[in-house]
Amino acid sequence: MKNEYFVIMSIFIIVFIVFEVRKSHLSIKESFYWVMGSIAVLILSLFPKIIDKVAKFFGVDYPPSIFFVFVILFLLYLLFRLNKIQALHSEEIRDLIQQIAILKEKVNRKNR
Amino acid sequence: MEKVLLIIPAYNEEKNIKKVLSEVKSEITYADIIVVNDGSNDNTSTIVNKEGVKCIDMPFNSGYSNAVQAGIKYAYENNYDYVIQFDADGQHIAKEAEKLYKHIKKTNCDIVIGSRYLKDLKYKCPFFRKIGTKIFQIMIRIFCHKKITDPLSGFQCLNKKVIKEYSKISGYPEYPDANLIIEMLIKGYKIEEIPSKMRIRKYGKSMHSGIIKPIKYMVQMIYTIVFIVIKNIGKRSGLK
Repeated sequence: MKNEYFVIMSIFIIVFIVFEVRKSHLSIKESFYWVMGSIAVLILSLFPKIIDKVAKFFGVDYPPSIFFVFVILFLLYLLFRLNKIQALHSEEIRDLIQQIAILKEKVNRKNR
Repeated sequence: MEKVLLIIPAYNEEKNIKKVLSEVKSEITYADIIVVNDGSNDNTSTIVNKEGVKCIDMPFNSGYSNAVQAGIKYAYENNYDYVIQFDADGQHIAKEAEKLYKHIKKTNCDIVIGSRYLKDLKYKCPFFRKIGTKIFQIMIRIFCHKKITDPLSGFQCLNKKVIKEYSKISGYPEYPDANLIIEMLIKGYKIEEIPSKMRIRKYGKSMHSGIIKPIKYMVQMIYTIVFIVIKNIGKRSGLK
C-alpha cells in the first residue's frame, strides 16, 4: 500500500473526529487520543524513514513490526483507560441508584 | 433508646415476603423494618406497602449487595445504632435475630454473624456451599488468624461504626461475604459468631444456584480475597 493512502486515511480520520466533536458526539478531551494517533500515522506516512530509524534503535530487523507493536500498545492503553472510566461510572451509577431509592422512600413517607 | 433497623433486601420474593414480614413484625418489636425492593418484576413492593412496612424501591434490579448497601446507607442517614441484615426468602428466623442483637449489645463487638455451623444445628446445605464455606474458613484462618465458621452467612448484626464504614465503601463488593469479613478483620473490627438456626427456602431460587454460578462465585471470591490481603499489606492493624 502506498504511503499516500495512509496520508489520506489519517486526514480523513482527523476530519471525521473534528466533525464528531462539532456535533457533540465526542468531547474535545476524548478526541485528543484519536487526533494524536492520526497525526502520528500522518507523520509516519510522510516520513517513513522514522520507522526504520526507530526499528534500528530497538534492534528490530523487520521495521513494520515495530509500528504494529506501538499501535497495539496504544490500543491497549485506550482499552485500559475505557475500562477504568467504565468502572468509575458503574460505581457512580450504583451510588445514584441508592440515593434515588432512599429519596423516593423519604418523599413517599412525607406524602402519606 | 437505641435505634435498630432490620434490613430485608428482596428480589422477586412475593411468595415469601408476606410470611417473613408478619413473622418479623410480631417477633421483632424493638426494631424498625425496611425492605429494599431490588427492582422486582412481581408484586413484592405492593405486598410490602400493604403490610405497612417501609420500602426502598430501587429503580431497577442492581444486585443483592447494592440493595443491602442502600439499606445500610438509609440506616446511616437516619442515625440508626444497629442494623440487622435479614433475608426475604424465609431462611432467617426472627427469634434468632434477637440473639444477634443481644449479643452485639452485651459484648460490644462490631459485627455478629449468625452461624449455621458453630454448633451442629442440622442445617443441610448444597455441595458447593459446603466446599466454599470450608475454603473461606481456611482463608480467614490463614490471613486473619480467626475462626469464622460461616463466612457465607448474610445473617448479621452491625453496630454504628460498621454502618458508617459500609455506607462509605466505594465499590461495596458484589458478594459481601468472606472478602468483607477479611477486610473488616484486617481493619481491626471485632467480629464474633453465635450459633443460629436457619430454615431452607421454600419458594424461588438461591442466587448461588446451578453449577456455573457457584464456580464463578468461588473464583471471583478467592481472587478478591487475595487482592484485599495484598491491598492491606502494612495496614493490618487488627491482626496480632
